[in-house]
Amino acid sequence: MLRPIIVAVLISLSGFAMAEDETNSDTHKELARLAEKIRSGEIDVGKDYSMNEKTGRFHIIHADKLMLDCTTCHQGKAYRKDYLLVGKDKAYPARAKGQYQRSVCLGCHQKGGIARRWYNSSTEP
Amino acid sequence: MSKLVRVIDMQRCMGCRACIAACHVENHFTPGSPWNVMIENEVGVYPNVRTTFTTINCMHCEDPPCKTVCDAIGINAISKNEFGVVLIDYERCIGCRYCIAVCPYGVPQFNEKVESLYPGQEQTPYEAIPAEQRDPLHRKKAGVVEKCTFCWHKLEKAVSAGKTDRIGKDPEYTPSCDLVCPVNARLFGDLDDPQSNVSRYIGKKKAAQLKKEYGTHPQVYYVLEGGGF
Repeated sequence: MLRPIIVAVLISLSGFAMAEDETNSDTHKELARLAEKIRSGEIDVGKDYSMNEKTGRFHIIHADKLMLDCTTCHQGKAYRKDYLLVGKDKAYPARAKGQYQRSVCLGCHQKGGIARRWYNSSTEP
Repeated sequence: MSKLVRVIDMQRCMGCRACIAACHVENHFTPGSPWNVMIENEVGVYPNVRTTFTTINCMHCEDPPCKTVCDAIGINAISKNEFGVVLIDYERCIGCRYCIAVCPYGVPQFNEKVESLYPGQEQTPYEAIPAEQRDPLHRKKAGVVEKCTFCWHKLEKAVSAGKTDRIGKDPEYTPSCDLVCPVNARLFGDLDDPQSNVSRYIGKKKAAQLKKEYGTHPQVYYVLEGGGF
């Protein structure tokens, strides 16, 4: 009796999941296209090699051009207790958006990612 | 060829911070830019709790992302020498802080301004040593990034004296933090020598590198003790 209803619910859920996968894939492709244009110089990101939020390439690339939300990288003002980082207890500027989680960088900057490679793959000997 | 590595045994470390103090003295510490820090972490569930102590300094990675990013923007201020030591040239550094952004261990420290150890007071004689009388790696400068050098100024002496086999054995050729540990929780030596103290210790105690998922191949090994590393 319930079987057709369960099947119908599962089918509709899988439809949502597929749609979400397609959206993620499209976003990923768009980011990859933008990243390539930045690397080739087609998109001008300036020459200010700094972390300045307005004029520095770092934030121009990630926030202005790739349109990543601040919370993609920045977390709260403090790290987890067991997080191993030299500057962990350094006072953080009050106006800043908070500490950033380095593991986020791995998504694009690891070998095989869409951005320039800063990290190898974890399994590489 | 040598591959210099450090081993830190967290099971032996008791958190005395002698290594931190030794680093501060040896490398002309300036407030806000530590080269060696200790992170205390409480592990376990009450009442079975204890504190673990992890000292973190530069990992002198085999594939250092700090160098990769510095080279990528054409500054080339970071080098890795034939002994595996990663060094920053303060004269070339432009203070962009990209190396800080990419280091998984948060090692590079931006020296915003060279502050006195005792703000508002006269400099101590040690701080007042003129830049030209210091080792280039100790010429503190505002607006540049600095970090642990594996005490390269000491290792360099061994290289010029042709005594690289004495690195990690003779105090004058060994990083100061590794010399002062009262419980022998720190070792320094050549990993390419299978008979060296570090090679044996890593094998015996199953020491591991931190944050391996970044694929940077750090040259500092830890004998881990609790915590979610």
